[in-house]
Amino acid sequence: MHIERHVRHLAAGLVLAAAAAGFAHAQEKASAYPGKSVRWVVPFPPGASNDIIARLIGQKLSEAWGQPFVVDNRPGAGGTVGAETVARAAPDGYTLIVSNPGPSINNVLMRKKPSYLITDFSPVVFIGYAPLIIVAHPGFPPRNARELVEYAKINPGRVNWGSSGTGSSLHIGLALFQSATGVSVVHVPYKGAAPALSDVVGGQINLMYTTSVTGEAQIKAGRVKVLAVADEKRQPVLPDVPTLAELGIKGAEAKVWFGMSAPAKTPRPIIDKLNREVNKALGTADVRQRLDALGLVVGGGTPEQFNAFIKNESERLAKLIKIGAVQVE
Amino acid sequence: MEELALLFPNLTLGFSTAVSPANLFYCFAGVFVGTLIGVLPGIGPLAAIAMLLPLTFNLPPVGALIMLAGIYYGAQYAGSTTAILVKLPRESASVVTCMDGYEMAKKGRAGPALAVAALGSFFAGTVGVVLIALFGPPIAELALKFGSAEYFSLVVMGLIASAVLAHGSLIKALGMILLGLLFGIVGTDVNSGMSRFAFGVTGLTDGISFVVIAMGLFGFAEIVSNLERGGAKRDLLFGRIKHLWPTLDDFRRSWKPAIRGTAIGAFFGTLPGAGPTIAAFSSYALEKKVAKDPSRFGSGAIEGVAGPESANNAAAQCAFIPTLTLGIAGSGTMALMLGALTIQGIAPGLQVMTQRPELFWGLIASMWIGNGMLVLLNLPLIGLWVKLLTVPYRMLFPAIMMFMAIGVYSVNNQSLDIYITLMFGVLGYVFVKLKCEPAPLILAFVLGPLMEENLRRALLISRGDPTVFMTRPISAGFLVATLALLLIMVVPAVRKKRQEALEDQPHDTTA
Repeated sequence: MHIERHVRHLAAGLVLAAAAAGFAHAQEKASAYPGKSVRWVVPFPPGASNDIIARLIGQKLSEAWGQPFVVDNRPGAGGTVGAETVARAAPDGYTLIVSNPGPSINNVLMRKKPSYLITDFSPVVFIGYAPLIIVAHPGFPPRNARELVEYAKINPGRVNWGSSGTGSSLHIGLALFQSATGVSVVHVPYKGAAPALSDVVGGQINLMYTTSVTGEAQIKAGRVKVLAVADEKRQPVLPDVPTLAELGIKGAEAKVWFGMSAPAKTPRPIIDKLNREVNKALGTADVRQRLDALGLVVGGGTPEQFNAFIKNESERLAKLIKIGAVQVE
Repeated sequence: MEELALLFPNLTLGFSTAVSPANLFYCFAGVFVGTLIGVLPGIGPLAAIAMLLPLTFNLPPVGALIMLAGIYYGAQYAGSTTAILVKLPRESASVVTCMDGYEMAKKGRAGPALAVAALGSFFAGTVGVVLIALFGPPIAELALKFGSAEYFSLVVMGLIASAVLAHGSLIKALGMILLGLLFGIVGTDVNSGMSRFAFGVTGLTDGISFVVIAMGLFGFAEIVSNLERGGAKRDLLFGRIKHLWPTLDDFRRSWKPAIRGTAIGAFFGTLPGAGPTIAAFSSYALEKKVAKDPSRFGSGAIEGVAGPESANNAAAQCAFIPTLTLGIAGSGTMALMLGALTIQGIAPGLQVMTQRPELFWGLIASMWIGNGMLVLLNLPLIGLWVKLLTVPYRMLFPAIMMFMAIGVYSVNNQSLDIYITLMFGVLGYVFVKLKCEPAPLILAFVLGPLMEENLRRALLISRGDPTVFMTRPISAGFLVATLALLLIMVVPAVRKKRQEALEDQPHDTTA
């Protein structure tokens, strides 16, 4: 009996010691991190916003730690290809991903058999977001989102609303708008926001969601008009355009956001270290200025905050899917 | 006319901006890097511009734009070099150049082919610059009139025209077009977002990449059939080099196709999407149609290089029109250029011309200077390229294979693409054996998804009413032109039969 107890104690002690050693090891690993080059996967082709963000912040991290942060473009299937790679990578902090709505939420929830799950990633830090704005052809009668709702109710199924593709953030934004207002419009998907915007300018379709940066040139030239900002507050570049909430449309806020995530089970100390350094980079004047030029509201904050944000966004989409506002493949 | 009066001071301002030593340097650096990435596999112009974008943050806006634009048209320009020398089209517009350019190279006429491609491109680039300066804004307005219905009809016309590309059986050409359309279906359904014919392979959900099909059917298949013919043993696959430079006869044959190609390219270039490709194919089809002896096409007709190369380059230049004047990007590369403008704190659009005239006109003037630099850079290189062909084939072909594999891999960074290229290589060899032309297949592969996307979108917007294609004037115009094309193709065949029966007058092919 005694021996058994001894053994039990010994085992418990060993487990504790191992855990402590493991903890110390993790700590030690974190202080040594990064000991080699870090691969930061961008699941989109070079030149996309994700790519520019990764190169901008990656450069800061490289300078801070003296280890290169290599941007690895893995485009394909709306970001799924790159996200798959990272979901299966070793959780050692040497493979990271630029997370954003498509690969991190939409592509997972909108597939019957997704090849990875939202929980396959550990959120590291929220980098920033671009609020969506509704732009319309100048000849389209409604002058703001409230009039748009009235117009769409009188003319059911006559309004053509473009998006950058089925399942894209712009499409989800439209679905949120429809479920919040109960209007029904025809969704016209394009392969990207640019051709859709070109058709709004040309009057081939009536309106679409876009970001202020994508629409900037057309807004300034008066080739499109802005009906609303789908954010909690007005946009500094569009001070006269009311928010959806101001126009009486609640719960339809929509944004394109960017962050950094690691594979699930990446040691917490490494995540914290990355989080601190990215927050520091987001505070520098030149990064702020570049992100501002991309139309981004700069983020930051703790991994927990980012995790809660992703959870909230995915619950909103799950609800849309449940009520049939967007279809699952 | 107001534009004409303003053109002179505008261009003066542009040139005085562009010839500053710093800007000349940026221009040269741009076209030099562009030429390098156009010839070497690995990174395409899109990736190169993306990687160099952060570098330009600290440059003055004019210098940054001049350099990025130089990379873009430098790469476009150099793309024809590999197409002519080793039948490796790096982008869809170069597929056309392969057809006669490579045949010329095989006959020892790589030099004239490269020179005509360079000079035709320079001519087209010059005209393109003048067009942008004169008619930029109105042309861009016209491009806005193009909706899905217009694109659909345009693509239908392009597909019918592609049947002309084949020299040989029309039935086989139609078969290849159908196959190309089928390969184009692989990928994601635009309207529902569902993946089709991807067989659960994530790498296929974006469809088969163009580079994969082109390298397989052209580059790989060519190597296999060369080896079969004993190319490795014989060592000299390419004919003895007679001229390094084009002869007077070459120039005589080339200048008209270059002018026609430029006109076609300028028109299609302003349309977003497949501008340069449709332009190059249309130019080839036209040249073959107006030629006295169409049978020369496909076996090294210099017109088949001069026309499409001019069209391709004119289109590449005119792609700047909607980007600069409207702030609308027709391609990924143009979207990047817009991004560069935005990061520099400049909102693209017509106001750039009034608020920052030195930027707008400086860029345009630098494009002309850059085109000149490209000629100066490329003409001396021709001797070097032609020398390359005298390397024994047993050493040349493994190098081509390696370059191909790197080029294919680097498009999406996935090795799956290399295996698919191999499959298309085998298929391409079968086509060689069956005497089927791969060019119509590739054009259909490029245009098919465009056709489907626009057909479905046009019908979605019209709520299923197919008359939109006839009631919209531009669309109706294209459909009428398509009908005319069909008649042109069918009538000579009918007349030929009748003439054979009557045997009363010599065969007339000037139709």
